[in-house]
Amino acid sequence: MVARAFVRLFAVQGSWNYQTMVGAGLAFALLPVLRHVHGREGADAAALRHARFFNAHPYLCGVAVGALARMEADGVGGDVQERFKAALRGALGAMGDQLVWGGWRPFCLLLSLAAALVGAPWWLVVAGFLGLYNAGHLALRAWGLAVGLQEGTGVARRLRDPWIGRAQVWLATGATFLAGLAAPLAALTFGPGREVPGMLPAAVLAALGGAALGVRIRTAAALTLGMVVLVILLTGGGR
Amino acid sequence: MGDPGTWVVLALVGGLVGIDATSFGQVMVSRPLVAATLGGWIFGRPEEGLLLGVALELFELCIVPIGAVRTPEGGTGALAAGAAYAAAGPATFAVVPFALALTFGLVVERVAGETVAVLRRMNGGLVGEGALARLTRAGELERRHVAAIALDFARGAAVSVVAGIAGAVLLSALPQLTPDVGRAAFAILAIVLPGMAGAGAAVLAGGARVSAFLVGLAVGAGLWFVL
Repeated sequence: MVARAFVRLFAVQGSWNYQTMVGAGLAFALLPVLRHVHGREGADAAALRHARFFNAHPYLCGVAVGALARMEADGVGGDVQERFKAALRGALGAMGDQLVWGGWRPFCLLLSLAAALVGAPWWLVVAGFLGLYNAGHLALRAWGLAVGLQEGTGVARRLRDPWIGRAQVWLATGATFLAGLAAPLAALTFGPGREVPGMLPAAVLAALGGAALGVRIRTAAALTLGMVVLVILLTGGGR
Repeated sequence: MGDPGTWVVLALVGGLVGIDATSFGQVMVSRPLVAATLGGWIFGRPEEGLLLGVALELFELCIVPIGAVRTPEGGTGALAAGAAYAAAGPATFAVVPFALALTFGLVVERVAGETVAVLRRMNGGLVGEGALARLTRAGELERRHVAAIALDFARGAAVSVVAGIAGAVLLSALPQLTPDVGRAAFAILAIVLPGMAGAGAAVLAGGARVSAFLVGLAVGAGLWFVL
């Protein structure tokens, strides 16, 4: 039953929509537990109640599913469960965004990018990234479900564990270091390299400019690249 | 350009990449680094796919999906671009076709992002508030949830194969370019991509950890002379 809920958590965002977000996914993951606790017929009302609005980081939805499974088994009322979900969703979203999207994922990606830029073979880069990233991914999903099941309504205490804050800081710092490392290596790999004088300072200045402007530079960079390609092609490129 | 069977494989992989981004798994085969390599691998040239994946990933780093924010879909865009470049690009690395494939991937990810928004509105019709009010059985909710994943798979497959074919046709039509033009485009990439790495660092650092970025930049600059 718990194993089935764990597997279903991988599809928690399957019907993501702008109205109920992952509500239906939460109910989908909880259904094996609801059927076990309430029986096949009795699970209908509980599942449809849980399908209402809910949102959280997908890897941490297991915390909510585990805690709700425990509450269902303990006979906690629907109103209490709804208030619990409302209180939990913001914390799970913020924690996942910082720990995974802003920490673990860019750290693993930039490590793999650096490996590719220094000449590692393609299979090692891809397998290394997927292996490392998913070791952390699966561990976090399993931890979330286990913590939810153990703690029930007291799960918020475990979300304040000091290791979470420390991990966020270390991962983001490591990823930022690797982003700096990747900038000159990208210029070396994709540019004319050491043959053209001034290429390294230009790449460093571009990286600093990108760091100053942030995400705003993305569209401008893409448009610049597209315009250059277009001009080269329209002028015949010296056929 | 590859045989029809290869394009069918691309469609199936495109479906998996499409659902991995949000609907199912999220094991990150939908990251441009992986997806572009897969696209190249399907057409027998994974090394070229990886190069394209690295460049597209640098553009993707500064995008963080938070809540209901609409973002480009980097996975299917990278898969299509990697496949197109491997299927119709030159036999050896040439910068202008590479830059064109990179630009093409960035355009496709925008279009693919719009198809994701359409799918999410369709999902609202399946399991949104109005639909839930009419449902009485959990089994029906379950079926609708699985149907939404199947729709996303079909969307990812369609986007990947249509964009892949369009990209291959575009690259096939490229004229022969002189080496001078290639060198000019090389310089553009050498400015744009470090800029995107810097933008990624800014998003990650959020105003702090500037020293980590500068130390990384210094180490990278040192490696410039070693590698």
